[in-house]
Amino acid sequence: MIPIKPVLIAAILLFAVLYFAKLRSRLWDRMLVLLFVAVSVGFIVSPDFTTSIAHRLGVGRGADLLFYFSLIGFSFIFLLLFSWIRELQQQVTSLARELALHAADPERRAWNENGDQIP
Amino acid sequence: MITSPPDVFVVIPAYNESKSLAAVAAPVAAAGYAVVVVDDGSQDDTWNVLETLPVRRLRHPINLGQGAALKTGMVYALRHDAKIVIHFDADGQHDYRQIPELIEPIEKGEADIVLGSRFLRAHDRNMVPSVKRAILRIGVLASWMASGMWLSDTHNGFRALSRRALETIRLHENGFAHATEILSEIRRNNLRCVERPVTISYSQYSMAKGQSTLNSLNIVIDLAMRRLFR
Repeated sequence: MIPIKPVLIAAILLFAVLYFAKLRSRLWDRMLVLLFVAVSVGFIVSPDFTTSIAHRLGVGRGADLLFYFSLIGFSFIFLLLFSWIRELQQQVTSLARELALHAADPERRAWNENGDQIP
Repeated sequence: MITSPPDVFVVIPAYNESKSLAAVAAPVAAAGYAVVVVDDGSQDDTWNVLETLPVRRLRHPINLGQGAALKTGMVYALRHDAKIVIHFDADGQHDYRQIPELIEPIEKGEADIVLGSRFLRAHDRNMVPSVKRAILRIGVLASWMASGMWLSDTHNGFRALSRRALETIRLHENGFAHATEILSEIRRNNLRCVERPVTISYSQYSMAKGQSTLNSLNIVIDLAMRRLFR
């Protein structure tokens, strides 16, 4: 076996373990990660497989095909993270605003008895 | 109907404005208006300066941006039964003596929101530095593309909002892009909007504190992002 292969496989497995241990635990997420690990390990073990897929898609080398797909993948991840950060920012803004308003009028109730926010 | 000054809430967002704030806010309060200063998480002495002034002060625990500060002031005004809200800059660019002219269309029942414009009178226009003037022309175009409203000026922070405008306009942009967002909201809510001439005095201080001209690019991107992610 080429020396890089066990290193890559170990890295992928470590990623999966860390993901399961630290991140989301929904079934769908876990299945996606398992699929990703399986495909990655498959590609590492027999790289010719990527080349044959690449040829079918009109791309010269398997490495190029993987590069294109990872670019697309990272772009999506960037977008998801961006919209998630924006959402967080909105929540932080609302919190900061309520704090400021509450400090200005400590007596005023921000919520009614039904738990609805008073405008 | 003439609105009595205490029913007119002048909202001033302030970020690190301890040097200019007293000179700007005190005369507005002295004229009888309800002055609401929102300290947007300043790191300087702004909050302490506010304690010495006859104004209502609110403080964001962290810096959020001018749009967010304006919104906080507007929510406060709404909760305190304001009839009219004025957006006013903390750096001394605006002249509070123009408030009666600005709110006149609202008092006459002719408009829900009045936008100050630097381009309706020759002498106001000549006060604007020429590079800024050119950028603002592009800004007018960008605002039109983003909101569908063709105006003579854009990103002029001196505005008057009626109670109805206050209740319907929803702002999400924390930064400077709120100015274009307000235009989209005017359209979305079918608010009646007019422009009135205002004089903006550009001092060295306000030029340094205000938006850099390059920031207009940033605003366009912010708005594009907002269209994508809202």
